[in-house]
This record gives sequence, structure tokens and C-alpha cells, in this order.
Amino acid sequence: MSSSAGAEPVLRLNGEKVHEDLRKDALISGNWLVGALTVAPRSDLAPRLMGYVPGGSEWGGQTLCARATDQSGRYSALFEYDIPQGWSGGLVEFDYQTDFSEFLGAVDETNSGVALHRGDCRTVTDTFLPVHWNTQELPTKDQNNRVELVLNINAGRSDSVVATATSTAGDADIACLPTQTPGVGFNYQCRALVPGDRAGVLSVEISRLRYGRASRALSADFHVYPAPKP
Amino acid sequence: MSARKIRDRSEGVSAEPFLSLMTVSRRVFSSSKESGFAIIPWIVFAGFLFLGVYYTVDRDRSHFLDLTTDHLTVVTDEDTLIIWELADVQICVPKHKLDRAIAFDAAPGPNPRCDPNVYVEQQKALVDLDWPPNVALTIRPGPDRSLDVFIRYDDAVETLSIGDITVPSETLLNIPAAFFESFGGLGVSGTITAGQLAENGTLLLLQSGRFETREHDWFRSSSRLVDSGTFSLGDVVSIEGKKAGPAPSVYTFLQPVVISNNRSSLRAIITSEAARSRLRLERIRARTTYLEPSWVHRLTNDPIAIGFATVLGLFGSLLAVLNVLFKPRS
Repeated sequence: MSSSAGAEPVLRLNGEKVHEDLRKDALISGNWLVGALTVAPRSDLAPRLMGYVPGGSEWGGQTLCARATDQSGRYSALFEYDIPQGWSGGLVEFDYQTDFSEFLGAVDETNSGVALHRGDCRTVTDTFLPVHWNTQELPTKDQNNRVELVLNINAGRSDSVVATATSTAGDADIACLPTQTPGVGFNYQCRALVPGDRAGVLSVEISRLRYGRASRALSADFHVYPAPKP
Repeated sequence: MSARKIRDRSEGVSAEPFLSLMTVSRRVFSSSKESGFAIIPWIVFAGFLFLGVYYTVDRDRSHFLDLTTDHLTVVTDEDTLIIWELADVQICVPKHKLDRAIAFDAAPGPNPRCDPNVYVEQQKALVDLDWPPNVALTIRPGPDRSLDVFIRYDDAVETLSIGDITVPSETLLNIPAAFFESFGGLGVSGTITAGQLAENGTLLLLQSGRFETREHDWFRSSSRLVDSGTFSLGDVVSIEGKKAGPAPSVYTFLQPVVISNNRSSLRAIITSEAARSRLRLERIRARTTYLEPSWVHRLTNDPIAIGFATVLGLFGSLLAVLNVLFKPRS
């Protein structure tokens, strides 16, 4: 596509598959954040996983872990990727060697998600990179040049999920709604609008409300790195 | 075959009347050459065909549920003539819907109904509530035999209000126990789901319950009970239509009940209108089950069918016994 000429992947990273499984029944996940995705037009090349990784010592030489799940909780996968030393930032295609390409080729951001975080897959950190999951390279932007992030939340039996969002790049909005069908993999989706033309860190705090009480707030940071200007 | 004069094995009893009965029965039930045209087998065949159609063809049914549950979700339908005349209701409006600042980390005040960091609490002495369609109400027992109603709907289109209080989606209502003593139970119309899946660490399950399914057969004046059964702890029950289109209208009547010293639950009776519907039953780690009567349920629960079967069975047995007893010696 000519419009995506400015966003060719700079790097293609081979991943190390730690685990991948598509079960008949659901497995209950322990993580509260099970997906952080950038909204973009769907790609015909699904399944594929891409992400804009910022440069500098904060990311260069680091290991990233991609945790994938679907809404029903049947699919789960862990892949590890190593960012090379001296990485200067840009679009990375994360090679996703799946055994279930038919299943993953059909999913989208409404029913599945990938949470890509810094660090290896043994622990979950709270520093995430939003990914392009089965989508084209350039994110969809609204009239204010903002991009939309979808966060998949596993909120258990809560009445509401309340979120606050602040971004170092400018104004950010967030709202959380339950998914259409209750899922074991995740049952809430928060949609955040963040500036799409500047790099920034989106800090999200989330609390689950239940029986009129707010749970202890959980927080996560999302490093948003803009696509280069075409 | 001509009836010969024979004698029964026991002395003195004439077998003649029984023999003639057997002869008649053979003529009627077999297409012997003597009778020429045998209509009876065809009538019997047509009768079986009719019975097959009568009991197998799908028909409208209504369901009745009597549940004790800690969790009931109702999505209201167009039937908005039911008015809740609530008194002393507490309304917890979520701050994030009102554009108010949320303080996650501040300590909540001295035991209010709702956490003041995330809710604005309001009180209403008297209010008439007439639910519009497409509002999801999650109803569950609250503290001190009260009733909690959690409201969720699409507030991007239109916002509800209770009196002068705006009630956005995700508002929590608390109806005190005293209200039920004067008003009775609450009625609501819409599609229902009772209970939650018994996943590890789940409060508020369906406790127990039973269902009855009734159908109205052709040429019969009253509807008939065709299926019934009970539910267990942790079952998730809903009534759904079999065809695409609007789900059958379901009426629910509910009130809080005390089930032990300091624990209350909801008692709900639920009836659905006659429609092509079925009960959907979900259990943890099990495939979804649909409770829907089959021809076996209809047949085995039909007194007329059982009566006929009994009479026919007796008649058949009688003929067989007579056949053996009075078989002519060749």
C-alpha cells in the first residue's frame, strides 16, 4: 500500500515461543491487563503482530514479552523478543510463529488481545507497548490527530471499571465498558484516546467497583511512539 | 376358519364366546382374503401417523421458574406499565459518569453505603420508577435485607433520571427492607438471567430453584405440564426464544427473603409468555444445556396417552392370554 510506505517495519524480530495453547475450555487468567492494542484498519496478512518500539537505552537490549489471549479464555500464548542493543526506535514486526494461524487469522481487537510488556515472560511488569494486532501499520486517527488504544481488562465480577488516564504527550481520555458477552479471558475493554503525533507515556489507573466499593487501584504505563510521517 | 365346538381344558366351561371374539379380532386386524378390503390396518397406521405428528411437532410453551437466587439480571422490554413506587431509596451515582474527580487512594468515610471517592450518594424519599426498555438491571440482596439494583444502559443515547436526580449507566440503587413490608414484591418485565457461573471466588449464586414447562396442545382446552425439574447451586438459567427476533416477554416478581440468621437472598417467580422458547442452563465447565420438551416428555406426561396405552396394553395382553388358553387343538 502506498499510504503505508512511511511505515515499513524497520526490524523483523524472531520470537521465542514460551507457550501456546488453544484449549476446549477456558483457563482463568490471573493478570488484570491482558491486551493493549492500537486501533488501525484490519490487515489481510493476519495473523501478524507489530509495534512501534521507542529507541534509547530504555528499550534497546531489552527483552519483551507478548502475552496473547482471546476473550473466551481458550487461547493463551507467550512469546519473547529481544530488542537489539543500540536500537534507535521504529516499527518492529514481531514474528509470530503460531500453530493456530486459522484461529488467530480471524480474531480482532474486540475478541482477542496481546499485552506486550517490558521484561521476560516470567513476571508481568507494568510497562507496556501498544501493539498492532492483525492490523495495518498506520493507526486510525480522529480529527484531533489522536489515536485510540484498546485495553482488555480482566475485571472478574465487578459492577464497573473506572479508569483515569494521563499522558506526557497531552490530553488523554479513557472510558471502560463491559464486553458484549462476558468472557473469562477478559470482560471489560477500556478505550483511551492519546495524541498520535508525539511520543509519550500514557499512565492509566484502574479500579474495579463492586457493591458500591472501589478496589485498590491498579496502574500501568503505555509507551506510545508515533508512526513516522509519510 | 370356522369355529369348532371344543371344550376348555378345565371341565365344563364353554370356550365358544372367547373363540368368536378372537375370530372377530383376527378379521379386524389382518387383511385376510375373506374380508376383501382391509381398512382397519390403514386406520391404525393413520392413527399412529397422527399421534407422531401430534406429539413431535414443535409448539408454543410457557416456562415457570421459582428461584432462590442472589443474582438476577433483567434487561427490560417494552412492557413499561409496571411502576415501582419506591420509598427511601439510596442512589449511588458514579463520579466518573459525572465528570467529577475520582480519588482512588483516599480512605473511604465512616461506613457509607457507597465509597464517596468514586460515588455521589443521594437519597430520595418517594419516587415512581417506570423502567424504559433496554435497561440492564442486576438485582441482588444488599445489607440488612435490602435490595441492590445495579443499572446499566447505553447512556450515550438518552439519560435516565429518578425525580430530579440524573441516573447515568452504572448507578447503584439500594431499596431498604422496610419498603417491601409495605409495598410487597417488585415486578419487572424483560429477558432474565438468574445466577452466575460458580467460578472460584464467586459470591452471589443461584441457590436453588425449580422449573415447570407447560404446553398447549391442539384440541385440548387447558395447557399441560410437560417437563419439570430442579436447579442446583451455581446454575445459570435464562429463558430464550428459539427463533431469531425478540425474546419472549418474561415477567418476574421478586422479594428479598431471609435464608439464614444474617443472610438474605431473593425469591423470584418468573413466568414467560407462550412462545417458541427454551430454558438455557449453564454450569461451570459444562457445555450449555437447553431444557426443551421432546415428544417423549409430551407423551409420557399426557394422561390421555397413558390411559390409552394402559387400556390397549391390557386388551393386547388379554388377547394373548386367550390365544394361549383357547388355542384349538389341531
